[in-house]
Amino acid sequence: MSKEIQLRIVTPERVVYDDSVRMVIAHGVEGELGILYEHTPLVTPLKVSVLRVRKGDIFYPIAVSGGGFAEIKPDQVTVLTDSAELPEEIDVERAYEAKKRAEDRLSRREEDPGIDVLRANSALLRALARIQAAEKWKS
Amino acid sequence: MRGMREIKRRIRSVQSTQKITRAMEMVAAAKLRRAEERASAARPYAGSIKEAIGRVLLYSGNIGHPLMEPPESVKKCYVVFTSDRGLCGSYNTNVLRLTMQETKGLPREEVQIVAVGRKAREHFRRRDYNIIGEYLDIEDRPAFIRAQEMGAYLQQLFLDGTAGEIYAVYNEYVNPMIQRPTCQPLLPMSSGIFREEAAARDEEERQAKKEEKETTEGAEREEDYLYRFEPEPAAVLDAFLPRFLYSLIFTSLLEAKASEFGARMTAMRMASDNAKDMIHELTLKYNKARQAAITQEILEIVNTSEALGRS
Repeated sequence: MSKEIQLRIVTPERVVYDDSVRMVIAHGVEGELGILYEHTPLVTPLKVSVLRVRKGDIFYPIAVSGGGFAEIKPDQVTVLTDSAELPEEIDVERAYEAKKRAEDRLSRREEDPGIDVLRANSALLRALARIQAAEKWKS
Repeated sequence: MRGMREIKRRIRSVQSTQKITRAMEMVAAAKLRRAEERASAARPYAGSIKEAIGRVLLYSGNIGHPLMEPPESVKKCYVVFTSDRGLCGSYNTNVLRLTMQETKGLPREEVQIVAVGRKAREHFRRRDYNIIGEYLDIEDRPAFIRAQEMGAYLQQLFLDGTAGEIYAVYNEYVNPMIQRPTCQPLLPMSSGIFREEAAARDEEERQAKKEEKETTEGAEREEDYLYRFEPEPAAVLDAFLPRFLYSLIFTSLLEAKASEFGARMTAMRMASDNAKDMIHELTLKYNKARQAAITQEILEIVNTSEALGRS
């Protein structure tokens, strides 16, 4: 019998997602985590990435577009992140533009030392997570 | 006769004032609704992060963090949240009064002010306080980044010893009529509040499980689960604590905004009501004056005709 776990994705501005699901697949910094009911209690940082949620038989991608943590209890997963978006909320065009901008900046970092590589990098990661989530949802 | 024109003019002037206060009331009401929504949408995060920190502290023994260390400096810093504009009743006065009360017994050189909003800056500048930071023109719908900026700055003040204790003074939003001035300690953070939160939540869950167990018999399970932390607890804490600080500041910002709109709405409603009363009174006066004028005229006509008829 597979029981469901409660997933809550919370950002400072709002609760993005709150529902019971069959499985959560998250990218922790130490590797990918598939979380089912009765998972060991664990607190781990998450990468800027796409979180996949299995609800019934469909996988629902959610963009975790900011630094964050997952707090896992046997029957509950709480994701605390600076920002997150559901795929239907994502403005794909804007994400592509952001991606291009970030890539531009990164490619010019040799000649221009004024570029904040860290910032450009994280902007790129954010854009990629958003694009991935949106495209996965469409297909 | 006398004064009729003046009364008419006053009525018109009060009416146009009323139009303005009514409009301001409506604008504030619309903004209030949005601010209220945002404030309540932000609450779960603050709660969850508090709980998570508590759990780290509870399950990882005694680990410390610079933000939880007792202060090195005796200096205090008050972050005072006011509005940029007036016309909002006692909103600013209440916060400023509370700040003055809090700082009353302290030597002047130990008090530092971070002013959020023009009203706070003016108030403390006039009284020659040491204003070490100011944030003006906060948007009606402040973004989390704002809180992050402020939080990073305050954290720096604490860590480099500029301020040993940091407080946020703001109006807590209760309802549109009531705003409660609050002085919330920001730094250093006491580990107690986190532990309490986590312990309370765990206890709640244990209770719920117990009830569940009674109904579904036999499902014996390990009760106290041990948490694992990846990477080590200290690193987790290092990421959580600043975020908790930001979320406290964010909450203050949102509460202050909601309170401001609530206070403004209430103040403007009262102004509109007062205008209504005034218009009513003036209209009565005007009618009386008109009546008197008419009576006067009739009297004159009667008198004249009598005088003419008799002759």
